[in-house]
Amino acid sequence: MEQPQVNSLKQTTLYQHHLALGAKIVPFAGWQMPLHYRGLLHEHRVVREKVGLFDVSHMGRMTIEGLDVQAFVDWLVTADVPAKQEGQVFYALLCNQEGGVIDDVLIIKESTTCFHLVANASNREKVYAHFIEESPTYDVIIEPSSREGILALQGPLAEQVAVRLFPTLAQLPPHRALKVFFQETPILVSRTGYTGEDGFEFFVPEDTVTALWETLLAQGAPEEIEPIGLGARDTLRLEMGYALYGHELNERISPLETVAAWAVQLGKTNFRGKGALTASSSSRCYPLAIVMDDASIPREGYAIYREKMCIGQVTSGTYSPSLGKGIALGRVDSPCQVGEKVFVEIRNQKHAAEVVKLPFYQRRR
Amino acid sequence: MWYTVTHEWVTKEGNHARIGVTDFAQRELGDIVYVELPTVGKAVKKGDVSVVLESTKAAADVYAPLSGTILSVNEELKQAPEKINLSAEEQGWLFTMSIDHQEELNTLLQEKPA
Repeated sequence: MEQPQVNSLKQTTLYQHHLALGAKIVPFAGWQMPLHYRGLLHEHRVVREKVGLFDVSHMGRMTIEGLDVQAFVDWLVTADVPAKQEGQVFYALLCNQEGGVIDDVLIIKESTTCFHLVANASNREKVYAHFIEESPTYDVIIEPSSREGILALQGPLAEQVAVRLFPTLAQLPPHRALKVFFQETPILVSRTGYTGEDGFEFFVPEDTVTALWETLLAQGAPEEIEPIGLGARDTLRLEMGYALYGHELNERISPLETVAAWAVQLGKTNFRGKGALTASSSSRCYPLAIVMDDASIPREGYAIYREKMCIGQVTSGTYSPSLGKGIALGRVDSPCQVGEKVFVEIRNQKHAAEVVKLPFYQRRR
Repeated sequence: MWYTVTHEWVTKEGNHARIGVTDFAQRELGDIVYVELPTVGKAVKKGDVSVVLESTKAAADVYAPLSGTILSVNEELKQAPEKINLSAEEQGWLFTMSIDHQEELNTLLQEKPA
């Protein structure tokens, strides 16, 4: 295994807590992050069945304020920003002029003059630079919130735990955010996540993140809350068929050819990259979701075949703890029908898989 | 018991060897969810990839610590790969093999690698 220089990696405020909880720490996007604590499979089930707490403070955060914020953000992202209501939280893509994706982000529209944005850890500097570069003609101030922690409370019992601390969260609908007070500090809470379960994301000042982490773990004891690592975060997101930047999305791929196509509002008057995305292209690719027939596990980069013809590659693959099978998202050059058989080449052997509709896992209601 | 620098263990039983991975290796891999075992009767050379262990995160190769022929594989791992996590150095053994060159045992480590 390649070991990047450990001393060049950043740590979140909670790093010592992760060590004390027995986490296996791995380098991720320049950070030393917990991969798992008790075990990935166990943690995956905790989030699907009860409630788990993630430290995702490695993610990039920024606040954009000013009179032109709405127009500025609307120009830079694929979502219809003016159509969103105050307090609404939405997913969107930032495109380059060629229509490729610079990053996929979560945006909180606090008001028409104040937006918050969450970028991937691997893209935080790039996204900030992009916003600065595009900003001169707009009345906006871009403030990176690098001294802030993000905690994600996820699972069917997340609300039960959250309302014990913050009663107003019971009335917070999905994809909405509001401010609550924790030890007299205002914190922004969004009813979102990356797991497919109900849950909340807390945006917390650095000096309060440890207290909130400890309080949530203590308050969630009756629900058997546990800390959850990035390993389960990835299997949870893949079971939902959510795109992961660098895998399904990158600067050279049109988002219209990915599972994130729904996030591109081509009906918008204009946005960066729209011209390239609406121009007709001679060749295109399609996203694909497959479940393996046998016990094998598809991995990123493995070739996908239809009969004898290679039609594409796996972009994300893993073992699905909920299904007990290997699952994958792929990118293929011809459309496949749900129910169709394809084959994944794993160590020179072709393993059959079935094309399925997303999500791989349906949340219990 | 002997060890390799790549975290396999070897025990000698009569004139054949039993092979597995160390407890350290299983902890490094995390939850093992799939095991690709060799075919019984297959001849392997020391250093050949003989087993693939797949955790939720990645696939890891297990190398033959000796040269010989695969005599048996731990069939139980097909249904219960988690046995490697639970008991890497006993119930989670991987395969047995003949020992073609007894002197190859001398190339193995007497103690677990650090």
